Amino acid sequence: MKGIVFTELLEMVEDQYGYALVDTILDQSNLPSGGIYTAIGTYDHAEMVTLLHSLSQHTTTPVHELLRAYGRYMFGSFTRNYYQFIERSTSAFSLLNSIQHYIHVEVRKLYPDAELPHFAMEQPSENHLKMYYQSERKLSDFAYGLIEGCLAHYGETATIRKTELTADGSQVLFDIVKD
Amino acid sequence: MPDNDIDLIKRRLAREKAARLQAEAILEKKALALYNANNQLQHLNDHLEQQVRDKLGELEQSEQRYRQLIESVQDIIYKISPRGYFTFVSPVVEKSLGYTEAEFVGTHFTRFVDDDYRKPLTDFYLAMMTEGQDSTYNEFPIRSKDGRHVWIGQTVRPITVDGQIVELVAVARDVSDRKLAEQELAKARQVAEEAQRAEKQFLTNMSHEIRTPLNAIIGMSHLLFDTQPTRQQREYIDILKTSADFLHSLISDLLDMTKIEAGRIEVSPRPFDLAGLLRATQKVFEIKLHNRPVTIDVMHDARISGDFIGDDVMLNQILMNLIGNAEKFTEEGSIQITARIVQEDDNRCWIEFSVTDTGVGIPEDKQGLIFKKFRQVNPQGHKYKGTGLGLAITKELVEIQEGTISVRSQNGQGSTFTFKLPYVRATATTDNRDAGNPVLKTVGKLPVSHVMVVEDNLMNQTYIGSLLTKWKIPFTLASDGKKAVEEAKQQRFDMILMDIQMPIMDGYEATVAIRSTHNPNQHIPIIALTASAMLDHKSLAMEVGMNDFLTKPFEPSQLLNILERYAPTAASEAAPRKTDPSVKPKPTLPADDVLDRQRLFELYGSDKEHAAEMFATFLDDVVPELLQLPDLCTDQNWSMLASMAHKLKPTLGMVGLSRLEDELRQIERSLGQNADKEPLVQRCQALVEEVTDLLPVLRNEIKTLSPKA
Ligand code: HEM
Repeated sequence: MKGIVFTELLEMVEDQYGYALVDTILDQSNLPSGGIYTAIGTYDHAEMVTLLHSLSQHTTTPVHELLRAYGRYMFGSFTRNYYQFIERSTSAFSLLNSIQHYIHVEVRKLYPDAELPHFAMEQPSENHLKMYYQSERKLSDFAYGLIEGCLAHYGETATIRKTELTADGSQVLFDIVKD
Repeated sequence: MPDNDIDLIKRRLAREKAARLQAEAILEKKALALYNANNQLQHLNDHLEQQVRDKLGELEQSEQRYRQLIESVQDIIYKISPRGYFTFVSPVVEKSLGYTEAEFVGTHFTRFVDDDYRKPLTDFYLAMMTEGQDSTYNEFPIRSKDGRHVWIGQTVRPITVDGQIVELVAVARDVSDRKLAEQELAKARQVAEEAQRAEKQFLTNMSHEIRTPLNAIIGMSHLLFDTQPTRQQREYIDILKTSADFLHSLISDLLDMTKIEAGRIEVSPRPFDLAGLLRATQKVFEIKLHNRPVTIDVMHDARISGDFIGDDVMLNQILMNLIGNAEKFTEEGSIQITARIVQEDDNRCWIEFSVTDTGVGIPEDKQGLIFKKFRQVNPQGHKYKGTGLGLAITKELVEIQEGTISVRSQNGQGSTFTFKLPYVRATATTDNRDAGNPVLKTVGKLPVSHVMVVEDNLMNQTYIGSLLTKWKIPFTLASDGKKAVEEAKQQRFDMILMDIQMPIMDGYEATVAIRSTHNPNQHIPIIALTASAMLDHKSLAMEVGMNDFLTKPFEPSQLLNILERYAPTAASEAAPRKTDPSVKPKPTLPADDVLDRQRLFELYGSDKEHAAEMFATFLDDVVPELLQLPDLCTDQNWSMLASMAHKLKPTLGMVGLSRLEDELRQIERSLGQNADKEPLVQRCQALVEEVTDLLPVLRNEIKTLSPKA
């Protein structure tokens, strides 16, 4: 998993809870990387799972909520760091539609070892979008937050219904209907 | 600051330092990878650039080669846009036209072309652009820089991209030299043709000029015979006439030969009655030979009947020449003409003609020479006069028609000339002879009531006029073609005798005018009086719609023959003759009043034996058949009666019973007209009675004719 995912998470924790909590979870988690992350590095996905569990205990917030909040936070950071990918779209749906065939494609060019999800898209009508998420990393709540962040960025509101298609959470449907 | 805060900061610092080092290490690695990648890229780039350079070099070379090629080619190569502007011109253009490449490129083509050629050239390019033709050649003159006219011959080809014509490419060359040569050639040809025309005109005029007085001499000598000359005068006139005749044939032959040699004689095929032509030829000579012990016979293959397509004028000329030749060398005996089909297939019918005489013959060593020009091979030298051209002309005429001619002869035993000519059998429908062409008439009496003579020459007018007066045939004179056409509108004639060469309007024009406008004479026979024996005149006469021709000078008998042949048949006479069957002719009339002497003379001349034979045949074979006619009437067997009448009709003429022949013709005609049959029975009865009454006269005639008598 790319280092940016770790550094941004820790950034968010520091913003919301202060560096002390960051220090605590890094210290207690006994991580192979020793808790040393740089945005351009690549680290084991398992470390992310460990960090999230630790964070959940200390903040008494469920992991899925943490991930969703992190998704929203992450989209904000994408708009700063990857502005060129976002400015091409003029609406939330158009951006969401472009992840699979454009954004993540470009991401893989930047980071050949990136581990990215697969999205299958369906648009029954102008205001209705269906996103089928599929990934072994089971980070659908992160995706949930990213979608929310995306809508907020374009100043749009929508009702998002999340349906787990498999018990392990590796396949999830987001049914998004704009208000 | 509490201690644990300081520891926290220390830890954070340591972490961040470690992360920085890590990041630097990663970046170092990435930088190297980037450096390597860059190197590789550079390398690739260099390689690519080299390749581009190589390709460019090759391109330049090929372009240079192509340019050298274009420059070395003497032809101008140019490209022109669809709107007519030059986009490329090979430099050689400067050499031939004086303009530089730069003066051409970007300029519209019309600037270099004269007004007259702008439109055709624009049309040419436009056609190339729109019709998608592959390649086209054209020629046009262009104005060079120094104002000369340079003729350009060019092949233009369209260049297409995706099916669209984007420009035209042309290979052009200076063809001025050839054009000049062509123009000069055309001029030369024109001069030559002019000269040829002049020569032909000269020949025609000469022929006319020489012949007109000659015709007068010959004609007048004929008339002189009728002025009761003394024996000595008659002898002089004879010499006069013979010399004039000779002079005339000499001139005709010379002119014919000149024409043949100039290739100006063409075969003009048309349907004609071959057997009829043979009979007519025979007749002409019978008349000519009437007081000489020479007989002339015609025998032809029974398959020669109906019309054949070929040049009858030429055939007539060939026969005239050969028979004339035979007649000249035969003092006594016979001339035999035969015609038989030797080969016939779907397309052609080869007919072999022969003319055999019992004359002096030709020595074997001379036989090879007789068809050569100006060779006379007669042993008696000057006794037989001739131009020495007759046989040479004959041979040419046969060969023009793809035929062959040969001679077989034994000295003192006579000669046989044999020639073969190809004809095409005319089917019934190809008989397109003039509707006005009358049925050949063999009757001796002349029901000609009015003839128009169109002739400008006073001497000829006098000659023909005297003859017609002598035969009691009324005539009207017209002195040129125009007057003839006017006269033809005024009244109906039975026949027109038309001179060819006349002032104001010639005979051809007058004939065309009479034949093509509505007038009472539109379809009547017109006979050309050709002032020359020249074949092309005769052909032309037939082409413009004349029925026959008579070559001047002619013997009175020749004119008589023509008048007979084209005299109107009874059918065209307004009022049918009334015959009263109750009035019987007196059987005791002297033979001379009953028999048509003139007719008999024309038929048999002095050949009494032949005449006697015919009379005997008539009595033995024809009379019994004639006697059956009334029975056929009673039986109402009309078709049989018609065919019998048709068959027997000419036999009456053969024994001088011209009036009865007429009567039988009327009977035959009434049968064809589906008229009331009642009077026919009486007419047949009357006819038979008349024949029966005349039998003693006929028997007596045989006695007179028989040598024993
Ligand atoms: C400018 C826009 C975006 C950029 C630059 C971006 C880039 C990335 C990067 C760098 C990763 C990490 C890959 C790794 O750790 O190997 C990632 C993962 C992910 N991205 Fe995006 N992303 C963008 C938009 C989105 C959006 C709008 C969604 C919303 C559905 C999304 C869904 C995800 C998810 C769910 C993952 C986690 C990996 C997984 O589930 O397998 N991304 N993305």
